[in-house]
Amino acid sequence: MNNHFLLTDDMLWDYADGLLSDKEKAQVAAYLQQHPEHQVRLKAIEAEKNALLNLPFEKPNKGFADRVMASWVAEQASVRAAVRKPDWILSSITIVFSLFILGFLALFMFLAPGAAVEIPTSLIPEIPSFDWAAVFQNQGFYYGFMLILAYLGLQILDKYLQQKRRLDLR
Amino acid sequence: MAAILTDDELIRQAQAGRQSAYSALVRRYEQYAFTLAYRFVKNREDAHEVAQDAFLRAFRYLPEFRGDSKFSTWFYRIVYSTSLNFLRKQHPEIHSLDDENRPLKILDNSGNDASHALETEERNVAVHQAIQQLSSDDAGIITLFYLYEQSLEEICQIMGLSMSNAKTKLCRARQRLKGVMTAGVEY
Repeated sequence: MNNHFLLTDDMLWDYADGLLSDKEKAQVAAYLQQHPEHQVRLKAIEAEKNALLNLPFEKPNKGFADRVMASWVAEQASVRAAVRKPDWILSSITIVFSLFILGFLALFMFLAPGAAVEIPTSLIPEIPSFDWAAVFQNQGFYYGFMLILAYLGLQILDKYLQQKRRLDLR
Repeated sequence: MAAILTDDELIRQAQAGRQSAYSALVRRYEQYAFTLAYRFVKNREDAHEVAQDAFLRAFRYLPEFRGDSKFSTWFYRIVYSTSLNFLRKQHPEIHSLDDENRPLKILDNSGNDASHALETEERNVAVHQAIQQLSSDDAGIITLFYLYEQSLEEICQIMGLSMSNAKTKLCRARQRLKGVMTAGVEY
């Protein structure tokens, strides 16, 4: 046994709580065997630990569980009501964007020149020209587009944070 | 006679939407939630509010509970964070429940001499009184470790501590408990 070994109260507490490593545990046990007078300290700590293990629980007021359940049922009812109400803003934006993209696709499909079929130029109707550049350069369109993008970005961020909070609580 | 369902069975039933399972969980854990909240917020009225909020939060996230840890550990973590949020709202200057630097105040404790608390019953009463004088953090970690028999690993999960930090906190909490019991030191 190391002559410089000092048995502190913290070490004895950890010994009683089973928090020491096997080596430390053996060291303390050997020291206690060699110095039985320290058994009194261990007994006092074990008595205090026993008191901690037998601490009484605090009792909530009568009807606490019923109040919790009433709040839970009320919350569930409001959640169900909210679920039934569609998120019309997001749905409208999605529809507008979808139409926008579909419109582009349709334009490209109809305006694309056919490679295999040769049509006499006299039969080709004059393609109505539309100044798309003017649309994209329009400030109203630009800011509207940015606003919608920002809104969708915030929606995605909100969903991400909600999901992250759920994962943190797991 | 109806068999007593385990936590896992109750959680499965609650996740399936059975209200009676939620109710059984509340009745099973109400004293645990209330005692832990009371240790942190140190006021019965506030402890009722915190415990109720903790149950509602737990139920909201119950569909996401996958049993990676024990339900009790997961739930105590929610009680702890709800208590911490509550205290932060009450006292915005609080950043943690760790009161290591809080100044000590020596009480006139002549009627509570630890030398009288030698008998088991008296010692239990003395420990109970002493724990109520400890800081939220100290009382919380002692309650979790001894009364709720949570391991240090589980306490790390509940309080978001590292292993060495949890061990140090537990050690200091025991020292302060002893200080309160022997010298009438209030934190």
